[in-house]
Parts: sequence; structure tokens; C-alpha cells
Amino acid sequence: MPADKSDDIRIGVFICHCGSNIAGYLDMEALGTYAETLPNVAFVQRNLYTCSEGGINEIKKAIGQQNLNRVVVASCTPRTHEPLFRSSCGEAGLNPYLFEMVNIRDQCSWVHMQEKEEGTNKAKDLIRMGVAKAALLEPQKPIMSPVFPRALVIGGGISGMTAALALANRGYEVVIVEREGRLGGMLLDLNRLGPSMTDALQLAESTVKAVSCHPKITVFTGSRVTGVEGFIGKYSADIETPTGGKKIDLGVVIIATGARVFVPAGLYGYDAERVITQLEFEPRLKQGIDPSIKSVVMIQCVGARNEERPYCSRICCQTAVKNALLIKEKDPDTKVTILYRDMQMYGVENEEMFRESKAKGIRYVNYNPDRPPQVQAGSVLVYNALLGKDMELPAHMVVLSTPLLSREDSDEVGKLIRVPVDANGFFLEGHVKLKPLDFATDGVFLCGSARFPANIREAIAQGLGAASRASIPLSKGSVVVEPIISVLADMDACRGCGLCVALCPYGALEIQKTDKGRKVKVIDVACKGCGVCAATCYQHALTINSFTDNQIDAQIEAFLG
Amino acid sequence: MVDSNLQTEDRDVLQDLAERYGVEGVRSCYACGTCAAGCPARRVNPAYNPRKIIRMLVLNEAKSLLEKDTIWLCSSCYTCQERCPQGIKITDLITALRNLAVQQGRSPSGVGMQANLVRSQGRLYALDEFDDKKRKKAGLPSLSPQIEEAVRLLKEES
Amino acid sequence: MKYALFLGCTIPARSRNYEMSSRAVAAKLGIEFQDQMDFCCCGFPIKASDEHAATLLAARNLALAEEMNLEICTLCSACTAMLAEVAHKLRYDEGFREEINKDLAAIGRQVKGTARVRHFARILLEDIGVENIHRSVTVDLKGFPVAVHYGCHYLKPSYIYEGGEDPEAARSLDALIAAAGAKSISYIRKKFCCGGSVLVADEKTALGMAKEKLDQVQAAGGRSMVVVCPFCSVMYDDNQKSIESAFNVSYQIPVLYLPQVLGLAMGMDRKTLGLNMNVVKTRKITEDILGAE
Repeated sequence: MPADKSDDIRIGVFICHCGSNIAGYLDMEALGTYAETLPNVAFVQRNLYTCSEGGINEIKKAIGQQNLNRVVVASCTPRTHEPLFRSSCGEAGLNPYLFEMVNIRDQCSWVHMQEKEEGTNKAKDLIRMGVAKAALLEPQKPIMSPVFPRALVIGGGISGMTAALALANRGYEVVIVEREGRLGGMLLDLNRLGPSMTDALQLAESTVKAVSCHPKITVFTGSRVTGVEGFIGKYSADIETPTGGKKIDLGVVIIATGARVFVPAGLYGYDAERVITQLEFEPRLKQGIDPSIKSVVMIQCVGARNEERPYCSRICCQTAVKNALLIKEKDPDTKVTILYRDMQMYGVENEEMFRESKAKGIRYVNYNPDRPPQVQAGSVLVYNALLGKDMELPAHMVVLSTPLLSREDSDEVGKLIRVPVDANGFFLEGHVKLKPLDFATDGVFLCGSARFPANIREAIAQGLGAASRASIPLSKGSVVVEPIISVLADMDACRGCGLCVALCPYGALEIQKTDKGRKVKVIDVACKGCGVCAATCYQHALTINSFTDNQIDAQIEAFLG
Repeated sequence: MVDSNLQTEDRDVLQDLAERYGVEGVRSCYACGTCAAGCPARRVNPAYNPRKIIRMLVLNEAKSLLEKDTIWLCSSCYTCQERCPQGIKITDLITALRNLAVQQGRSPSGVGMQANLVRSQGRLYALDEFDDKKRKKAGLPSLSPQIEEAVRLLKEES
Repeated sequence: MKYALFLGCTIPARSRNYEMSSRAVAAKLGIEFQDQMDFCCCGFPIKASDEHAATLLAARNLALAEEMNLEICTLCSACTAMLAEVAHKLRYDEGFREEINKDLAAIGRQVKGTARVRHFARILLEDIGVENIHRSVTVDLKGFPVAVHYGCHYLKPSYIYEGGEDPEAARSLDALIAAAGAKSISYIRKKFCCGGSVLVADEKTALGMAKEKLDQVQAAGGRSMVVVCPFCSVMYDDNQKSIESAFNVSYQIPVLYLPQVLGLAMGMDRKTLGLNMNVVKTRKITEDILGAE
């Protein structure tokens, strides 16, 4: 067995050709010869592809045969390959954290394709620095923490209820906090849902019933979350309910706070009577429109896609087309014209609904936002660029399609749970593609219109998705965290000033009273190892595993020396 | 212009086009402009714009459309029809509109002349003795100067 | 191989060179044409004013072809599209067929919907084949640069031509020209319309459209054009002088019918192919190819 730590540091350096990505531009032989001259280096090997199965086997073989206790791979980026090399070291019996990676490709061979000599010299510097740091690496152990088997869902609309039901049906306890007096959210105000024309109230009622009857779900209506503390697996939330404050323990949080509709006060003669929003139109459609209304004009993008709200709300076009079809269903002779900038009718069914609407005589007239339609008494005037003139469309009623807005308090809720919102106040997911329903903060998930305007189908799909994501830590019962985290290396130096606590983006630090006075404490599982605290601490009390001051100093010295 | 009673007029012309001329789905046009972009007539004469013609139909301007001469600028090359992403038979649509214009007594004089020649002779050019002589000289067979049966067929029809 | 030859109106009166060269090339390749004196106008010239009347004329011609039990071979692309469109409808739309037959009953005829219509060029390609055509070539055209013009109705509307070629990527005429030993040059606006149909409404637009292509043929070094439709020939050949004077340009690009080029390659003389009847003089190019006669 190779020694994890020994006075006799034996470093193996593996230099990757990356096909011709590196070897095509750098002098590989020179790099190999050079690496052999570096202190503590016991073994050097060049590979065509170190990440290939052959390359990995070479590393494992060398660890055993050469009795290596540190491994350096000089190749590509740790972003993609560090986990592979680390686990390979682990498989060969070496602590995975005694591994160091040097990138001689992305910022070296790729950017110095025309300067072979200088590029090779830079690669030598980088390898020298990596070797210097590797000698000082310490073994680390992954951190485990239990997960409390309960989820908090903030928001009892269709998305939150769906997420809650999915988790509860998997056997986990769920607490829903809804700030309105009843569950259902915006769904309660809708008539029928396109493109299937499902009855909104029926869907709402059946979902509410399932949630209310579920033995695993506790619902607090008319309630608010006023505080959330802790980290993945071990959160505690303060809830203000009509019957008083409550404190509950939980493992994960799902944010499903939804959105609200923009009220276009002062736009297009909005009066909530003859000129109304689509949301206000929904109950009227349900009750049956006044039969004297024989012409309806809808205007899209009202208060949207402008300087103030630059985004497209995505769902207003399908709402307008759906409602236009419902008008025609009631009375085919009612004239419906939709004034639009661009029609956003994504998806096969929506496209089909769009087509059907045209076949049924619903007319679409494009307008230019620089020359917006004018709502007059009894008609709407719109300039049509293709015809090159104004058209006057009779309008007994005007329906304005306004965007969904983020909740007024989304920023506040975000701060409470330490998750970010975007420029428009919608919650910002961890990664637009890779983590669409997660936050960067572990254990917190999101779904529905809290994230971005979503139609019912999307809200449901996202609710199921968020529940699925949340059930991973719940089902494992514990979380394993990378040990490359902040540590209070010098407790005496810490003065408990709390600067690091204020700056930590993950809530992973707290000040504790100890018998030595106020000291910072790192919450291991919450820490992401970003290093903000260590960089901030003017006392150098905090440091980051595998990025300690002496390791970085050694690298700098190696570079200068 | 005041868009009054648009539904009825719309329906009349678009229904006519669909039922009598088999031109369906005009309303499905989303004004992408593929037709106008590929149109050889438009390239030479911008007064002709198939996208605008369709827009006028959809927006209840059929009447003023038929009053304009622009529909006669189409060269019936079918480029637009082949390329229309919504599958609208645009060339057939123009032909149908021309038929409607003719029914309202509006067409370039040459169009009527051609029709009259065909209706009275069964062919565009009557092959007179002079033509026949030339054909004989070229070693080509004689053809009937005009086709009575075709004349009769069109008389019955109209 | 026997076909009912459909000449239409324009060819027998105005484009005898096309008819002569077609008959000569067909005979050489073993294609038999059956003439039908009773064929009338295909219907296309009155389609714009009365589509139904046009359809009846086309249907009557198809009825005659059905009686002859022969496939129709057309030379004019407008006739091809008109007849093929109606043949297509008659074949697939039973209700339409019944309606038409009611009208045809007045002249004692009827259609079954079995008639087939193909353009002469397509018959050459599909029934004779480029290899056989190449085999009958006796004169080396030495890669003479030719600008092929497909025109519109030879290819479109594509749905009426079952098994036809993609109008956006047509190759048939290029293949025939290559088989004859000439070189089909590539040029911009190759798919452009001649503008012939606009002539009746707006001469300036029509001539402008023809000019678009002549400009490009000239720019690409085409020393002649090849057409398969008398309307296209009217625009590029008959009207070339008018275009030259209207737009103050100069082309003098001879415009030949496809069978005239094929005939030259098969060793036929100018007289047989009616080459003296082309408006822009063709003497120069035949001398270049064949040497002075």
C-alpha cells in the first residue's frame, strides 16, 4: 500500500498529449525531461490521452509500482476531468485529494499555437507550480450529513401542489405554506385551459382535494414563511400562521411562489370594464359574454417587451388564441382580431390551436411597437405596415394580453433562503440547462411561474421535476459533500468580526460564542469552497482545504524561483 | 378605412376561393414573405407583392384587390406555391382572383382577346392556308384550321 | 414507343423549328408520333379568365388521347402543365371527373381519368435514356457552352408531375445536354421565369424578367440558350432585340430548342432542324461546331 503521507514525497507526473491538441503545439519531450528534474518527482510518463482507459490504467499501475503518494496530471481542464482522475487515484488506493491537475491545454497550447518555444516554457512553469503544490497536499475525507425527511413547499398553486403530492406519494412528509386563504393559486381565476380546454376549476378542485386529504401533507393557508435557517438536510423554518408562529424542521425546500398578472393601468384605455386583461376576461368567458358584444380586439405584449419589462411572458399568446377560440365557440359571428408583435405559439398543440383559430376566421394583424394601436370608443385603430395604412377595427370589447410579473416579495423570499432572483425578479435557477429546477444552494429547488412565466402544463411538469430533484437527498437520507471547504485553521486568530459571515453566499458560516470568545464556525455541508471567506479574513484564520496559504505560496515561489 | 361587416365579405371571397377554385387555407398565411422573396415578377416590378395580396384577402380587402391591376403581374411560375411553408396554392389563388376580376369585367384587354380567339376557333391561332403552305414546305402534316367541337363545348358550358 | 403528339396552338403556327427538330430527333431515336388533327387548345390561354372553360378544353384533349389509347407527348411546357394538372385531378378526384363528364357529354365524349401526359424532354430522358441518346451522337459538340433554361411549367406545380424531379434542383435538361456532348454552364437565375405570361398584362415587366436571365447567361459566358417551351423562346429569342433596344444592352445570344441541339449532335443539318427560323442567328454557332457548310 502506498503511503498517503510520508516524509518521502513521491510525485508521479503524467503529461497528456491530448492527441494533437497539446502535442501539436508544445515540445512534449522537453516537458517530460523537464518534469523529471523537479523536486520530489519520482516518475514521469507521457500519454497520448491520459483520460483514456489506457491512460487511467497507467496512473493506477504507477501508483502501485512506483510507490507514488502524489499524482499530477498535466492536461486539460479540471472542470471536466478532475473527478475522473481523482476517483482513479482513489481506486488505486491513494487518497483522491492527493491529486493535482495542471492545465497545459486551454490556456497554454490552445492560445500559443504560433509560439512553440514560449508555450513550452509556460507549460514548464505550470507543471513546476503544480508539482510544488502537490508536495504539500493533505489527504481529505468526504463529509457526511443526515437529511431530515421533510420538505417545505412555499406556494400552494398548481406547481407547488403537484410537487407536494409527488413527494408525499413517495412517502415523505410535506408542509405547504400558502399565503392566500385557500390553495389553488391563479388556477382558481381561470376558465378553461388550452390547448386541451380542460376546466380549470375542476383541475384545481381535484388537486386541492388530493392535497388536503393526503396524510403526509400539512397545509398552512393564510401563512407566510418568515425565516429559514440551516442547510441541506437540516433546515428549520419559521412560519407565521393565523393561529400563531410555528417552527418546523425540514431537509429540503421547494419554491413555488408563482407570479402575478401585470395590471395595465393607463395603457390602451384600460378601465377593467370595456378594456380588460386576459385574466379579467377569463371569468367573463366562463359566465358567458354579453351577447351584444359582436367584436373583440385583443392586443398582445401590453406592458411587455419594453424597456421596463424587456422579457416575453411566453404564455400570453396561447392564452389569447385560446380565449379567441372560446369566443368563436360561443358565437362564430363575433369578430375577433388579435393585434400582435410576434406570435409565440411553441409546441405542436399550440401551433395546431393557432392554425385552427385562423381557419375559424380569427384575424391576426401585426403592429409595430413604435406605432402602437389606439383604442378609441367602439374601435381600435392599428397601422398595418404591409398594407401601408391604418385599419379601424370595430371593438365592443378590448382584451389586453399583459405579462406575468414576479411576486412583489420574491426578492425578500430569495434573501430569506439565500437564493438569487434575476433582473425581472424571477428566481434564478442554478444553471439554465444543467440545473433548471435547482438553485446553486443545495437542497433548494424551484418550479412554476416563480421561475418564469409557465403555462399550467409546464407548471405541473416543473412541479414533478422539482419533487424528483428534491427526493434525491430525501431518499438517500444523508448528503456527501466535497471536503474542499473552508476550515477555521487558526481559531486563535479569529476575532469573530463576522465579515466572512456577511459575505458567504451560501450561509455556510455562523458566529458562535465559545469560551475563547466569538468565533466563526463553518457549516461543512453548506460550504461550497468558493474561498470568499478565506480571501476576506484579514486575520488569515480561515483557509480552504487544498487551497491553503502555504500551498498557494509554494506555487508562487515555484513560479518566481 | 372602416372595417365594417368584415366577416361576411371575408367569408364570401375566401369561401369562393375554397369551394370554386380549391384554394384553401389562405388564412393560415403567417406573412413570412417567402412568396415575395422568391418572386421573379416582384424582382423586376415591386408593385407586385404576393404577400400583400394574401394579407389583403385575410384583412378583408378583396374588393380593392380585384380592382387593382397588380394581380395580372404574376407570371404563374409557381415559385411561391412550391415554397409556401403553409402549403397555400398561391399561383392557383392568383388564377382564381383573375377569374373573379374577369367576372367583374376587369382584365387587361389582351386577356379577353385571347379568350375570344380560343372560344371562337378552339385554338389560339387559326391555321389558315398560308400557315398550311408553310407547314407543307417544312414537311409537316396539315392540321385542322379550327376545332369546331371545342367551340361547341365552350358554348354549351357558358 | 408510340405517343400522341400534342402540338398545341403556338408551335404549329409560330415555332415550326421546334416541331421539325422534335419530329426528326424522335424518328432517329425510334419514337413514333401519332398525330391527332382534332386536338384543340390545351386550355392554358383562357385559364386566367375562365378556369372551368380551360379545364374542359384540357379534358377534351385527354378524352381524345384515352380514345387513342396513347400517352400524350407535349412540346410546350404550358400545355404540359395544363393537361397534366387536369389529368391529375381526373385521376384522383372522382367527383371532379363526374362533373367534367357531364359537360363533355354535350359533345358525346367522356374521360376515364387514365390519360398520361409527359413533355418530350422527359420522354427522352425516361424512355430513351441518356445512354441511348449518347450512343446516337455522331458529331462532337466539343463541350459547347450552353445555358439551359428549364422554365416553370416543365417542372411546376410539382404535385401534378408524379415521379417528377425537384424543381429546386432540376437536372434532366442538364443531363440531356451533357448526353449530346455540349456543356451545360452554371449561371445565376437558372431557375428564373422567362416572364412570358406577363406579356399580355405588362410588356415592360415581362421584358425585364427575360432580361434578368439574359444578363446572367451573358455574364457566365453562355454562348447559346436552350429552351423546351415556345413561350420561353418567344421571350428570349423573338424578343431579344426588343430587350436590347428597350434596356440599351447587347446580347446576340442564339436561343435553341433542345431537340435542335440534340439533332446537331446526331449529325442532322440546319434545314432539317429548322435552324434558319430561329430569330437570333444561329449560323455562327453551327459553324463553330460543324465547320462551314
